[in-house]
Amino acid sequence: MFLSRTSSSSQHREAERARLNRLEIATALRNGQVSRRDLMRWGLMTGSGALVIKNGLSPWAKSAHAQVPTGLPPSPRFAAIKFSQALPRPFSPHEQLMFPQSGPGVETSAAFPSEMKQLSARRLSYHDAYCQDPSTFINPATGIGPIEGRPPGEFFAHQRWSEFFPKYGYVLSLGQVQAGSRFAVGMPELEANTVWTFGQRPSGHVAQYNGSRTGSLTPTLVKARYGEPFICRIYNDLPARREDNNGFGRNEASTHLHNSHNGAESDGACNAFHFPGTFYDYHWACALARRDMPEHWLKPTEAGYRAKAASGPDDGDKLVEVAGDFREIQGSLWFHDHRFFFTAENVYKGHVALLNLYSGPDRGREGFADGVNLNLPSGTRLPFGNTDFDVNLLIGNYALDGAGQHHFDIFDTDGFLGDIMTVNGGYYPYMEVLPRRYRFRILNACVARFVKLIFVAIQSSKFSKGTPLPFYFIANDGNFVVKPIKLSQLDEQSPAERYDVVIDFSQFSTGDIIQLVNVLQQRSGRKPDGRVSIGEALRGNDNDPCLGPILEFRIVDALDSVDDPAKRYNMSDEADRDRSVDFDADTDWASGAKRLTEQIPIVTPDRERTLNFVRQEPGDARATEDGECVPDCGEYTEFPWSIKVSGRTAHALNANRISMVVPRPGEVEHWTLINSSGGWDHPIHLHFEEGVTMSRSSGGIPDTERLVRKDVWRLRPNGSVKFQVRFGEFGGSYVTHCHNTTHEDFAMLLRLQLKTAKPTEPGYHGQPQFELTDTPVPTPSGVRWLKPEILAEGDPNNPEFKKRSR
Amino acid sequence: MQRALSFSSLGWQSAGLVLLAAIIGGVGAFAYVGTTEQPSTVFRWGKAYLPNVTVTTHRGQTVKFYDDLIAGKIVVISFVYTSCKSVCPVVLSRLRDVRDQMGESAASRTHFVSISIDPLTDTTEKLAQQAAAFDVGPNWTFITGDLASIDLIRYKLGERSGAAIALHKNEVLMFNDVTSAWSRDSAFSDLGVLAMNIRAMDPSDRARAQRSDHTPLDSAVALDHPGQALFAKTCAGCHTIGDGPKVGPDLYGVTSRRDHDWLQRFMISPEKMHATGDPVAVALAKQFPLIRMPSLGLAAEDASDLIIYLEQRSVDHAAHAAVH
Repeated sequence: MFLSRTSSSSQHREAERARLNRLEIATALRNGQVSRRDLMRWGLMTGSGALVIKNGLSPWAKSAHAQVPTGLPPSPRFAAIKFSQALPRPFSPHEQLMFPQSGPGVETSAAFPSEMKQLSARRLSYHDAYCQDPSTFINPATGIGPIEGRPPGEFFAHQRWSEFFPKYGYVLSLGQVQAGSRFAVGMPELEANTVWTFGQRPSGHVAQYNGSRTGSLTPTLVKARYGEPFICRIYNDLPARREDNNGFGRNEASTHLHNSHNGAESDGACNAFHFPGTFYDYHWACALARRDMPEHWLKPTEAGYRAKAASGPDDGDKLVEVAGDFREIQGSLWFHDHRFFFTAENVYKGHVALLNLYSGPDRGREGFADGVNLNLPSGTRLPFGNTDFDVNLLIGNYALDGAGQHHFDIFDTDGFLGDIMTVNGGYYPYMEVLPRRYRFRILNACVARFVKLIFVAIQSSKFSKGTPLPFYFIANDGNFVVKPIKLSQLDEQSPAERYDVVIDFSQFSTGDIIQLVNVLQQRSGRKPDGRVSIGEALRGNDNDPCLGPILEFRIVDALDSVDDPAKRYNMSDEADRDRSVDFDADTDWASGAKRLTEQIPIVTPDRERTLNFVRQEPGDARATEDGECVPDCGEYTEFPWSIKVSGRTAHALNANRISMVVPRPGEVEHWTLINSSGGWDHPIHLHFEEGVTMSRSSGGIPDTERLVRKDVWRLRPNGSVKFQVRFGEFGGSYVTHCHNTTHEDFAMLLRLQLKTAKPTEPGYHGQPQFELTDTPVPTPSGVRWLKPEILAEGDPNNPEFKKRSR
Repeated sequence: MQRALSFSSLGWQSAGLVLLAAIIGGVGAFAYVGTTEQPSTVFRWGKAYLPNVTVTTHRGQTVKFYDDLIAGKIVVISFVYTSCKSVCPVVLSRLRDVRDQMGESAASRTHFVSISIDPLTDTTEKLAQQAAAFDVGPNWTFITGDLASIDLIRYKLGERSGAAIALHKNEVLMFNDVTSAWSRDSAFSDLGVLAMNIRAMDPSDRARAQRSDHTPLDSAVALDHPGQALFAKTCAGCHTIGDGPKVGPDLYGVTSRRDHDWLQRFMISPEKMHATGDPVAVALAKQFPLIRMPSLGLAAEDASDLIIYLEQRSVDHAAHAAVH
């Protein structure tokens, strides 16, 4: 619930008072300080004993001057002022060089520098060693169970360990927010258990029973590279008592790298969550897809394309070539919680971080010509991964309680909406920019809020206020489009979608102001209402406080580098001029002679599948024979959200149920995702692989999606989308689901089993995943196992597959 | 000592950390058991949040929702209505099985609350009938009440389907009022896992379970036949195969007692067959008057799978009986 910005402060006070009144009345009644008779006389209670639906007294009363998206009075703003705080720039944790460590009879492990006092990273989990001798490798925070949360056994051993032996390691802590952190300048300090998020884990830090305040409100950014496999060791430094959560969030973590090409044991979404005091070693291999299928690589000569595009940057001026298809290169990724049933509240609570995957073409270094580098705006101070002009924007949406602490309605099943927007954890921040080209990597990290963003001129001698500025769209969900697409507004962007854009500020001069404006109104977690005009968004309306500018750009002529603290850029200095690619000036881009990547062709698939995301399905299973209902027939009970596979079945979430089996690597599948729930929109996420978007049923397909690789698709109400996907290299248990994380927590999630080659087949790389993975059931004392159940309609080896696929 | 030696090959830091872990681990374990769980944080979703409205139980008592049903307890909350002829009976039968799997001691410390979301229809008598049908025992309370009170409870607990009760939430909510911790799960999760998750609502039980073995969980669902999974998920709550009647009849030998075509039709549309006066369906309804066979929305091939499975199990059971 919120009040419009035009409402008076007295109205705000009144609303807050009403909330407190409601609590007070309820308490007073319970304590016998007032009687029901009193309340009835005051008109606050019905004859039956319920508090009447009256503005301010009932949680779902429609206020005279407010709509109700958050389930709370409007978030208090205290002394916070919009655009008074600089955009927080993501913090990059230390990358630690790892070295192989071996001994007689011991499998080679990857050791961290000894001063870090870390156990070396092993192929098999330390859980295995703990099982062999339960007096070793014990969780130091609780004294119970193994120190590593990764399940034991070969199925959770790192796949292709020696082939992707880690060169680097990160030691991150998922902890309580650091002391002194505030939602915004001028707001109260956040309590330790309000925000649980990532930070660097200090060397030698020992897990604490009550949690550790290691979390940084500023988002974490991992700079990864192709050709540099690494270990991301994530410690769960949350309090051991699950009750210590300030009202929402579960202290059990499962981190999904969205949407990297990794083994299922490192995908973070196979029910292998881990407990406070433990760590989980994620082996993020930075593998380039199609590694095992050279016959499908586009030969550089065929494409007339740069040789060595399938590569990553080294620490100097060279490339590390990798096997794989350069058309599968990814860029803007992120990692976030995937604990089934608690994902929405955990992600909201702060279990979110950024990961940029750098490659030869997308090196994050401009003015550097090696025949491969695309020279996208980034900076010049580092050999790769410059962020001075290549800026991650993580968009969040929050609500605060009266004390200024994050609030989340754990009972909301539509999708939780907040009434405050943040960028990189900052409250409506501003960013100083030089009059030059910038790349922005925009991630919608909200639980349920969609956005539609436009760069709008606010103060300029060249553009009148409210003018939408042109920019180039270069990547969707971290995947390059073939040709940069010139736009003046972005498409709708659902939770988890990433849009990379390049905008040229060179037509502006010092003192000019541009704002990033959200024009998409949304009052329900089910779907957005629709867009409003730029003028209305700038003025604000009474329906949605999240309309309008969320970030302000201020043109300056000199700027301190974030990559090199000793550097200050000065626009008048020739050495500091913009060296990034100019899609306008170089006509080869317009003609198509120069391209960001090449198109992956659509081919005849080995099989097709249909997934129907439904709101209303009879029962746990299966449509009736004739749908007929006689007078005596009871009403069907429906599941709120579910997925039907190939026309057959709707099931509630059960991590033990395999809905689809991909029988062998390399086969092409065409999937059609259908949204039959008219009143809703669902952003559907496929783990592990991207799909080439082929078509949409209605409303047209924008250029930003047509034949573009994606991993999250907005289905649109009553819409459908079709894409082509090919799996390979790794196997195990993955999922596909709705990325409105509230929907995901309920039932919109199904399990996908990718099989690897058998030992007798070509393409076998020692992986055991040619067999099905048992479902891990983590407990604090160790992992237990369940045999999964497979739906006949999901398994192409089952004779029922064809019969039931219709 | 032998173990410590073998680790020394991994470097001094590993061995050191293990020793350190063991020391701290010991302290931690002691503290864990010794601590009375009194979280310092705000109880956001407990007493201050939950409505303390007056409701009526299936035993005919008038009680306060929070004070009498929630306060100081571990509760498992489900939403039902007695005219629900499809999923609700399955949810209830599964929850009853879950309670049986939890073990006597944990089950006796857990209270089940099934809230009728159709209070205008669901009288105390109807709820009592439902409770008897599922043989729920003393720790299970069905509640109804006036519409406004029930609506308030429903809304606050996230059951926000409003008048469209057929769209109601099939999730199971779990709450420990002492610690103010909420959890949720699906009634269609594996029964063993669900039982474990409910037990884990009690921190002392969590601590106890943490000392238990590492044996694999037996899945309630085996894989030999598609009908088996279906049976475990949708039938086993009410029927046995050879272990006597439960909520519904024992299905041992049912494939020889009944015509296959009849079985097929009855599994798919039991309500329709009852309504059209099928003599066997009517007789069954008389024999098991409390709960009628629900419409599970089975497709023809699902029913065939089940019939094959029932046939197989009956043969197995007979062979087993012959041996002993």
